Amino acid sequence: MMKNHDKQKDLARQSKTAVKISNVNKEYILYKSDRERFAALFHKSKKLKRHDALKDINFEVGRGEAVGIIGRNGAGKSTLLKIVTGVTFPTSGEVEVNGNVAALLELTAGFSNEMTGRENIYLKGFIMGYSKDEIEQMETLIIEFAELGEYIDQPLFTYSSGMKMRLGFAISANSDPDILVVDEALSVGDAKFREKCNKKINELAQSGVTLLYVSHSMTSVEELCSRVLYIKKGELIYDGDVETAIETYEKHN
Amino acid sequence: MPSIIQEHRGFWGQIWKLARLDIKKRFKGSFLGSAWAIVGPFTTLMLFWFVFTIGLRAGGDINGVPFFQFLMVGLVAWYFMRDMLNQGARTIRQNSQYVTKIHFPVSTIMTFSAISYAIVHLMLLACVYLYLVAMGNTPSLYHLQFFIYFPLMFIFFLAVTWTLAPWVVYSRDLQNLISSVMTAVFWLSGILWNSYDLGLPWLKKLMIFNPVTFFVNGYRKTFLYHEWIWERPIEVYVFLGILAITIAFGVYNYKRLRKDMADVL
Repeated sequence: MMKNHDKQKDLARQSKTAVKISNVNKEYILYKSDRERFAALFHKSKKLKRHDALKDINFEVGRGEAVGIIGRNGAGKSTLLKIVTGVTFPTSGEVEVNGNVAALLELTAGFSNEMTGRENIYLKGFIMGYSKDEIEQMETLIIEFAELGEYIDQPLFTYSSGMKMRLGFAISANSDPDILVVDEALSVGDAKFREKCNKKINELAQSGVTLLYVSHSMTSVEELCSRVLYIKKGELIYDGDVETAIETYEKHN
Repeated sequence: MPSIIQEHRGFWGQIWKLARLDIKKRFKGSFLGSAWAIVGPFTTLMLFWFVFTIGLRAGGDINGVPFFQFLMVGLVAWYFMRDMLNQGARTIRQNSQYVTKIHFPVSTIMTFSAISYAIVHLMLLACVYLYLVAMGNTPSLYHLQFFIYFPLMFIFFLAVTWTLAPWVVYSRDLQNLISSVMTAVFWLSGILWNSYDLGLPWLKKLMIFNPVTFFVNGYRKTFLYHEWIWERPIEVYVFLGILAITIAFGVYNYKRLRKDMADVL
């Protein structure tokens, strides 16, 4: 695993491009009934209702760039992030991602309620592709950041949802990623911790980690990003500097 | 095959960990814990033994082997196959967070689940074996055939889940269908009776095409009848044919549905 991971990292360092999306389309099939879904197992009828979540998206993100993604609800931002993180796949087109991705989207995904916080750090770390040694190195940092105190050795079902989120954020943010994918809408507990998270994201962006940042808050986009993609109804309307993007976005609404 | 092999590469550490976690989850919150893995099957074994031997007075020796032992060895193989089919078909659905929320090699879900059933099976089999040895069945070379039958059984049913588990993602109907068919499979596959003693020649031939029968008989040959696997070569050829088809279809099916699973779940 270690070898694999190192190789990945080396590749990531060599390539100037962190993410390259070419001609990507994503189409969701909207099944009206269980019967339709069942039939689709054998044959995908042309009559099925489809929804184009993304239409011919093209862009390239250089290493170390901080890119904001704005658009209204349902514009396709989340789908795009899911494609970059490899959770879902484009219907057509090419996706190239160089380096290991840490996603701050589903913070508690991959956790097991039966295991302790510490065991979960290892579980999630393994799933993300880190070796035991690598996780050992991150462990203290993660525990400190999550501010869980004694709870770190308690099983996860004793945690509040805020605590789980904190642990999730701490793992992803401290895992030394090459590319950080953030959905600003994520809730990580109280205002104080949220501030800490924003600070951490800022810090990572400054340190040369490539950032993809989805947000509805234009202030935080302006603060963090040097470039913005504006997506409307699955189409990339604008790709360029922050001010023009925000202007275009506000004009369109 | 490439997609499944690729997903397993460098992931064995995690698979092992997740398999152990899977077992831990299953027996969580019970005082006896993993002892239940033995208590349940043991109860069923006693039940069948009672019904056949005391109730129906049918439990005579089967080709020189006590009915109790005959039943025991057959059931132990069956329990593994039942878990692989019934539980195995649900694994992706039950672990949907690995499909819809994070980037994860989905085919390893089937593998770690299968390993967790296999561990339970080996525990159970160890108990059975100790009983057999205590009853005077001295360890012999024939018993080593376990190392042929068990891996074959593991691979065959794992390949079956490559087809079933993605299907169940699409439709719960299949899950219900499998559950209902399981009872029939249990009664018809020669677990409670000896398929080699069937009176109808055509039915006897047909039984060769049932992999469940192949393994139940295989375990009995290994531990009870001391017969070598190659003594009935046709059975082996037919099984290997079925295995090849199952693997090919499983790989094709998994590859076909892999990319849609996150959107359907």
